Order: sequence, then structure tokens, then C-alpha cells
Amino acid sequence: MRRDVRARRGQFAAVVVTIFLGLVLFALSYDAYANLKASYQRVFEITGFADFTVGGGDTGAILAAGEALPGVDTVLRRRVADLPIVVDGHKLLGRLVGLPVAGQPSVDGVIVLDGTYLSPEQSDGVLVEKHMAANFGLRPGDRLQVQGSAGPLEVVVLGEAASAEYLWPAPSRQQIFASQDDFGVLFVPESLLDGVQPSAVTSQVLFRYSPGADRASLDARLTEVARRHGSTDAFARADQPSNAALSEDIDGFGEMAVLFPMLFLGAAAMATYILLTRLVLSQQAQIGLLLSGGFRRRTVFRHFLAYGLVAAFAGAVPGLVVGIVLARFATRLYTDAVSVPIQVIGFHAETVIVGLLFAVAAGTLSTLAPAWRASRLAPATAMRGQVGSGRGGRSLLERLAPPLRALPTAWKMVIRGIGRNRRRSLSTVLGMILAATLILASWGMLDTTSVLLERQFVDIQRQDAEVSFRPAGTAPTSATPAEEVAAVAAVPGVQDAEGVAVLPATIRSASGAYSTELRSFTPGTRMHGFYLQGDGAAATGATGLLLGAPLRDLLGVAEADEVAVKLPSLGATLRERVTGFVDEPMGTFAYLPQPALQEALGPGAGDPVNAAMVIFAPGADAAVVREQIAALPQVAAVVDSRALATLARSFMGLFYAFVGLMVVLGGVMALALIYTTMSANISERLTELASLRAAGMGRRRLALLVTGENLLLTLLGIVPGLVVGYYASAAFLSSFSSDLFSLELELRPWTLPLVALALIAVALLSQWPVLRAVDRIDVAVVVRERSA
Amino acid sequence: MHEGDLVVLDGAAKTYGSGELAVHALRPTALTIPAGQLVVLLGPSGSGKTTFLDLIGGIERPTAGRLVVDGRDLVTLDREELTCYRRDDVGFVFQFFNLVPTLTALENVELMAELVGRGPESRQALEAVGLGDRLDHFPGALSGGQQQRVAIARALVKQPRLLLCDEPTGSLDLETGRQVLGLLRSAARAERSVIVVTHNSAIAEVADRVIRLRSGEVVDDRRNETSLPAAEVQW
Repeated sequence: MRRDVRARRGQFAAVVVTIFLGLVLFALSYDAYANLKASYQRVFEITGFADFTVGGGDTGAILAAGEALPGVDTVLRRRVADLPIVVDGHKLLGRLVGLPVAGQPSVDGVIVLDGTYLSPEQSDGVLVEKHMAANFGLRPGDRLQVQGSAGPLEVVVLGEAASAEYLWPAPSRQQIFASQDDFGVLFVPESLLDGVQPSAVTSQVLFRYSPGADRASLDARLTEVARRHGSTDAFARADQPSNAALSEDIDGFGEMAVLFPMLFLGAAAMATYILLTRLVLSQQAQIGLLLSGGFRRRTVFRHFLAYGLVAAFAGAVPGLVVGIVLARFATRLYTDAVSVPIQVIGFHAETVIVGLLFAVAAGTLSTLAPAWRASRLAPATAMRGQVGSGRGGRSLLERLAPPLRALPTAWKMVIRGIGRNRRRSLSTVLGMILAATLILASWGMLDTTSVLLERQFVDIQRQDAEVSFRPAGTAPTSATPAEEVAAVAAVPGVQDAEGVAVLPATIRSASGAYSTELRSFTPGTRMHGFYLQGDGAAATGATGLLLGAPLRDLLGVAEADEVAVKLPSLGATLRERVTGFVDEPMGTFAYLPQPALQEALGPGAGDPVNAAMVIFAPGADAAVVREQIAALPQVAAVVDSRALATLARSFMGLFYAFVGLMVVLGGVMALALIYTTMSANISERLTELASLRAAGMGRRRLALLVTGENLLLTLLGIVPGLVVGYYASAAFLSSFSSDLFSLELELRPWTLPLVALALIAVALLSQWPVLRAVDRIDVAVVVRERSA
Repeated sequence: MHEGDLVVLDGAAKTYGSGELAVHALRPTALTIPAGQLVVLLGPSGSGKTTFLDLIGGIERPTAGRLVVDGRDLVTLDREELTCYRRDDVGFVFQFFNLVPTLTALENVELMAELVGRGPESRQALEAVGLGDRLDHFPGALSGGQQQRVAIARALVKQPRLLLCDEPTGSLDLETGRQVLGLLRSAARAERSVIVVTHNSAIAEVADRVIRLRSGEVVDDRRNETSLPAAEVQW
């Protein structure tokens, strides 16, 4: 076996490298996934992360009803408030989470990273959430202001804390991306919330389940309890904004842990199959001799099967080691990037076991058929050594396109060469399909994210900033919403300002309910573009209720269906017909034009506008204008939309690195497979090629013919590869779609040609060692060998 | 050396390896082969006859001496020039035919003919070897003798100065072998020499000249006063 491996070391190396890469990807993804899951789980355990959260409604009744459900272990009530806070003169929206000062709560506690927990002796002491602390450089002893009902409240930082609820600091499911300059979280004494405007405070009930409880059943029952008692927002742990966002990310690792290694191991299996088939063919005479001499068939079978196992282990063992080491780095990188306070990095035996099983399966299955064939050879026939190196016959291409028959004979040889060994040609084509799928699945993510970010922040969200006004009765002035909007429009540097109603809403249908925001623009708004599903861009003058596209399935509604729109901040419930669904990459909102909203609320209702969308003048200093707007007394918070776009795009850096890696690995995989198939192809035809050299065919011409055959096979694989890759990419992306992100494949026009060119380049590169072998044929020796 | 000499070996030799491990496949040899001869190189396995053929055919280089074919010293030619030499001046016929299995008989001949711009002569070349009715047959559908005749047509379509044959009847039965020998006999004409390597001494009776080799040396070089017709050769 050693001599055989040495004689075909290039091809064996190609197989081993492909298995190695597959196992590296597997171990890296799977172990990182397991580590990250364990890290999050540890945070959840330490903090007592709630299994279910209910906001608003009759929290007393909700608590009592929920507590009585079997499987509920702990129930806790708390309050949260969204208020302006000021840090060093900078105003931002703050989420104040009330905590008991006596000690950590039994549900949704915090991990104190610096300083001390809240103290009964210091009623104005607060903990700053980790991201906010890092962004503003806040340390114990620093002071900031919270907007109280009677004016600003000064609070002092006792420490820095991390919370399972804000590992990803998202204000809501609809606002997954939030600039740290615009949103921050404080953990405050419960008593401090007594001093803020009651309308800004929401009561919540938090539930923890007993170990082994039926989570799905409890989620459903608590949802019903929440609905029955008027809750405005109820969600299970899986739907908690931070957890949902991060889970999507790390679930991606889990999916990649299966998908990508499968591609590599599939390619390795094909390459091994080709290699072993060729080996058996070339050793037929020896096999026949051994069988005739008394060797058992199972011995022959085991001998050839062992090649696959040797290649599998040779690639799998170092692959797993490298992958596990890389997983540790990846885990640290990721937890640092996302600021997960606890890193759990462990050794997972299942990674090694499953990885080895994958490799052994690939190695065994690929060698099964050639090993079986070898063991079933008839000794006499095998010893005669008469093996054809291809059948005669016109190719399918020539039959389909008769003009091809007029080609020079050398090119007919190239075309017919594809059909010489159909299994091998099919393997090459399949290899190209696998490579194209791998590359397109990654590149597709990049293109899609890039296109969708552009759509979200240029075509849909057209504002430069979103200004929230303080709730009625809390602002020091009694200006009307129209006057507030006018005051914003008058700030130097503001080109345009429109009043908008941004209202927490629960949309309810016969099939379910969904908590989101209702956004109400003026007809013909310049601040928002509406992309009707299936229709492309629509006029901004939408006339009726528009819902985010995911709600079609989530609520089981269609156009013209009636839904209830509950607006708890206004104490109103509207009944509206759905006029359409909008395709928006980020978030799932409801839209109703202001005239329709006003009419639905009734003549006695006040102006629901509580925010303004702003476009800055060209050349204006956005930071200065933002601060000037935030300084207005009626302004609660200013969200810089462009900063959000920049934040979202900053995460693209990771994507580029990932795509680059996948393109390279896909290329390596294709290269290894094509090299193996071409090598087998050439070794089968050495005598023929040597004869052509002896007859005076030049090296370059011969290289051109060999390259032509290779390229033809490549092209035959690229076209279906791009098609399969396109649909695989679309399916892969849509598996990440949810109400948080709507990810439909969007490829830039040049992506498919670029991928095709990349694969052609790989095919040409794979030629190099093969052409060297052709160049080095010992013509004098080879022409005298029997073709085999 | 005479003016009509097609091949001139002037001390040409081939040695593999060096020092104690050196193998003298062909010791320094001096002889000439004029055009128009059918020459048989005879000798046991390892005698150097194949090496002799390879040197003349330009698929091996002498490690000593000179080897002049049609006025050109092959030792001075580079790789590309040797390729051109083989393309224009040499035709090879091998024991195992070495046809391209995915091309028909006609296409196998055309493949070589197109190299020298003689594509249209391919049909004629096959007819000349008696395969005018097998043009569209693939090698798998031809007998051994028919395949060897295709190989001969393929070699001759280029109108080479030299036709070099290595055990051309080695895979054939007596009757088919005679047919092939007959073609080779007729291929040797005024402007062309045919050199046949064989270990079968019966074939030597067809030749104009027999050169015997043993252990890399020419041990005998004599003309046949009367050569036997190919149809009468017995082995």
C-alpha cells in the first residue's frame, strides 16, 4: 500500500487535503457552536434568564395565573422604563430596568463586571450595562442624568454589569441594530422608577420554568394568559430580542457545521472513488494473480477498502486537531466581539467522534464499489490484462450538433474524451457543482447583505435621524406635535422634518398576535419607501394598513383580511383591512397613513404624532445637528439613522473574511477533485499520449488538447453548478429569515460570471501538475506498455 | 558513408546511469543504412535493438557519438527540433498498435495526417493497407491485424523517410503477421527505409539486411542475397 500511495502521492494528497479541509470546517463550526451555546447557557444560568416575559396588562392577574401553571418554577414582577438619559451632555434613549437593592433578583439578574451591585444605602446608585459603559467610558463614581417626572434625576454609577437580556443591546425585535450613542441600558433600584413619569413605565412579569418542563406548552399557555389579561407584549426566551439576534448568528455556525463539511467530504469521496477505481484497473493483473494463487476475495476487498480508511484518517485526524484549535480562537473572537461576559471553551468528544465518523463514512463509501469490484474479478480475465481505455463512439455533443463533426480530428478526440469514462466525467462535473455551491452560498450571503443594507438604509429608511418626543405631560413645554416638529425643522442644518407617529402595537388576527410598532407617515412622505411584496417600489402614498411580509405567515392573513391593531399607549384598538405587505430587510412593522389613523382613532382623539423624521441639509455636520436637536426640551432621544447604517455595515468586515475563506476553500476543493480526475484520466491514456508524442505531436499541442478536455468538463459542470449554487444559496439564506431579518437572495449582476471565471481559473490551475506529468512522459518506455 | 545513406551512426552509443551502475544499452556503433532498405534488427531481450530504434527515431538521445539522419545530426537537435523531426521524417509502428480508441480508423490516420497537412490523403492510406471498407470502424471493432494495418497507415500517411517498427507482429497470428510484413516490405522504397525490431529470426528472412545485436553490440551485419516473400515466412 505504501508504494501505491507513493506512486500516486499527488492524488492521495489531494484526497487527504480535501478531507482535512472538510474536517477543519466541521470541527471549527461545530466546536465553536458548542462553545458559544455553552457560554450563553452559562450566562443564562447565572443570571436566571427568564423563560417567558410578559409586558403590560394586568400584571397581578398574569402573575397569579402564571404562577399556578404546572412547570412554572419562579415568577417575578418588575418595572422597566424608556426615558431620555444624559451622559456628559449627550442625550440618548435609556432603558431603565428596575432591580431589587436587597440582592440579585431570582429572574433576569445581572453579572457585575466592575464595581458593586445596587445598595440599599445608595438609592441613586445604578449599574451601567456593559456596552454603554464601554461606549461612554463610564466607571464607578461617574454621574449621569435620568429624566424624572419632576425634572432630571442625577444618578451615580456603582458598577458595570452584563445581562442575558442585553448581550446584544437591542431595544426591541424591530430595532435589532442600535447605535451605542443612541441607546443604553441602566439597572436601577426599583424605587428610582417611582420618580419617573408613570406613562413611561411598563410593568413586566418574568417566568422561569422548572427543569424538564414542557417549554412549548408553557409558552403557549402563558401567551394565552397574557392575551387574556391585556398584555401588550409577551414573548418566550427564544423570541427575546437579544437572544433571538444572537441565536440566529450561532445557529448559522450549527448549520455550517453540517453543510460545508458535507460538500468537502462529498468531493473527497468522489476523488477517492476515482483514485481507487483507477488503482484497481491498473492492478488487475496482480489482483488476478493473487486470487488465482489462493488469496481470499475478502482479503482483496479489505486491502482496497483500507485505502479509503487510511486517506480518511490521514485527513481527519489533523483536520480535527486544527479545527478544534481554531474553534477556540473563533469562540474567543466572537465572545469578545459580542461582549459575552463568560467564555466556556471545552473539549467536546462528540466533535471528534462525529468528525471521525463522517470521515470514515466518506472514506468507506467511496472505496466500497472499487474494492468490491476488485474482489469479484475473474482471475483468468484479470491476468490477461486486456483493458480498454475507453469505448469507441461518437459523442453525444456530436450527435446533438452535427457541425461538430467537421472539427479537426484532434478536437473530436477532446470532445469524445469526455465520454471515455462517464463515471469519472460525472464526478468532475459533480465536483464543480459542489465547488460552485460552496462559493455561491457564501458569496450570495455577501451580495444579499450588501444589497439589502442598501435597500434598507437608502431606499426604505430615507431619513438621516429619527427624533422621539417626550410623552405628553412630561415635556417642560406644552407645544403641540406640529409645533414640536416645526421646532425640529427650524434647527440649523435640518433640510426637512416630518411628523410621524411611532406607536407600540399588537396586531391580532384569528390565528395569532404579533407585537411590533405602528408607524404612521404623512401621505406622500419623503422619509420612507414602501416596497410592496411582489410589486417592487410603491408610491409613498400608501392608503391603507400595510404589514411587514413575515406577518402574512405569522398571522395567517392576506390582503383584504381584517385585523385588530391594539395601541396600548393610546388606549385604543383599531380594526383595519390589510391592503398589502411590504418587503423590508430589517424588522417587521405595520404602517398606516396619518389621515387613516386619525380617522380610526376618532374625532376626539389627539394628534398621535410623537416623533419626527429628519433629513439633514447637504454638507451639514450630522453630529452637531444631532446634538442641537437633542438639546430641544421636548426631545427625548435622537437616533442617528446613518450611524445605524454604518454600524450594520461594520459587521460586513466579518462577512468579507468569511466569503474570502469560502471562495479559497471552494477553489481548493475543486482543484483537488479536478486534479485527481485529470490525473486518473491521463494515467489511463499514457500510452496513447506517448504515441502521439512519438509520432511528432508537439508538447504544446498535446497540452492544449488535454486542457481542452478538462475545460470542457469544467464548463459542463459550471452551468449546472451555478444553477444549483443559486438555489442552494437561496435556501441557505432563507433558513436565516425571520421577522428580524428578511433574507432573500440578491446577487449582483457580476457575481455569477465572476464565480464562473474563478472556477475556470481553478480548473486551469489544476492542470499544471497534470501537464507536467504529460511533459515528463518517458516516451520510449511508455509506448511499449500495454494500454491500461 | 555514402551519399545515398539515410542513417549514419558514427560511434553512437547509449548508456544509462554512471560508474559501477552504468548500463551500456548500446555500445559505440558505426554503421549506415541507405534509403530503400528493409532492415531487421535481431537479438534477444536486452540486446539493445529497441534502444537502437529509439535513437534513430529521436525518442532517445545518444550519450556519445553522432547520429545523422538525412543529413541532420540528431545529437545537435533540441527537444522541439526532435519533435519536428519525428513529425516530418519518422513513422512508428508498435507491438500493441497504440490507436486512439475513441477515433475511427479514418480519424486515427487523419489525426497524424493533419499534423503534416495531409489530411485528405488519409482515406487513400487506409485503402492502400486494404481497409477501405473499415474507415468508420472504431479500434474496438477491428481485429489485431486490422488495428496494426491502421497503425501502419497512420505512420505512412506522413510519407516519412523512416518507418520504425517495434515487434509489429508480436501480437498477431501467423497469417495476419504475414499480411503486415507484406505491407512493411512494400513500404521500403527508394526514398524510405523500414527498420523492424524483432526477436523472431523467421522475420529476418523477409529483410534486405539483418543486423544482429547482443549485449548492446552489433555482432553481425549482413545482407540477404534473396529475401523471402512475406507470404512464405514461417514461424
